[in-house]
Amino acid sequence: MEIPGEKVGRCVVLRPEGRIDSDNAQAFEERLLAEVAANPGNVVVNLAGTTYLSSKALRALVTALKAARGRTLRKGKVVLAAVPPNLREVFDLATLNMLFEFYDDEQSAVDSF
Amino acid sequence: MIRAQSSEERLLVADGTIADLGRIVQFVAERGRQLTSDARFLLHVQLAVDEISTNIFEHGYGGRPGDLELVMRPEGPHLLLVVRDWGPPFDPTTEPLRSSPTGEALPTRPPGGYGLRIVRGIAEELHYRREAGVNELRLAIRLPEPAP
Repeated sequence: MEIPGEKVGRCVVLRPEGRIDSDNAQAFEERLLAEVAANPGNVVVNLAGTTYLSSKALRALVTALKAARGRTLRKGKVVLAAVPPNLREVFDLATLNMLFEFYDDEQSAVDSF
Repeated sequence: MIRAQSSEERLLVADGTIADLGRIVQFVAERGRQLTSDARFLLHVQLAVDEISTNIFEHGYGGRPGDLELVMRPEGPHLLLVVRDWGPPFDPTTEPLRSSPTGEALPTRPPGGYGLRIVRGIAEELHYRREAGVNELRLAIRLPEPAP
């Protein structure tokens, strides 16, 4: 799974495109965990170009968030930006809406670090 | 716009595995688009079938190949989805949900259990029955209102 990303300020921004489902959720999780493990371990996931999130994608995001908060030297963060309304509802349905920080746009998410 | 469709759509996946999920979800997406172009509804239908099928292949059949039958048809204000499998008995309507995260607190156990929560949230009606060795789950998802 190709996930465009770049370092911006004090974080890494990932911009997954298309569907994240059982076919590629494992690759998504591995990429997230690699970015969390890297210094500084702060990750913005910009979902503007994402069209589908299954529960496996949600699990990948929660796993990455746990890994970020569990870092020993300096805790990191995984935040979400530009989540389309239909996908935001998926977080609500899974009752994960309180767990993540949601930002309307990528710049606001980057500025949160 | 909802287009009238009287015929029932049916998909039988013989000896299916998780690798068949893509075509199962594609099937419901294509048939759903014949009814409406409403993006939210189409996402809900795909998610519901995705999560149920994932559960059947991963937990019901435990990763071994198994059969799955999917039937979908408009019924009143709903799209009715009927999913059948021949795995061990499993009632998603009574299965306890894992506790949900409260606030920013992360659960200590490994993350998961979101699929069942999503399905219960999407379906307006959800009925399970076990008969002659077959699990049958019936979901009713409300069709979007026709555009004025």
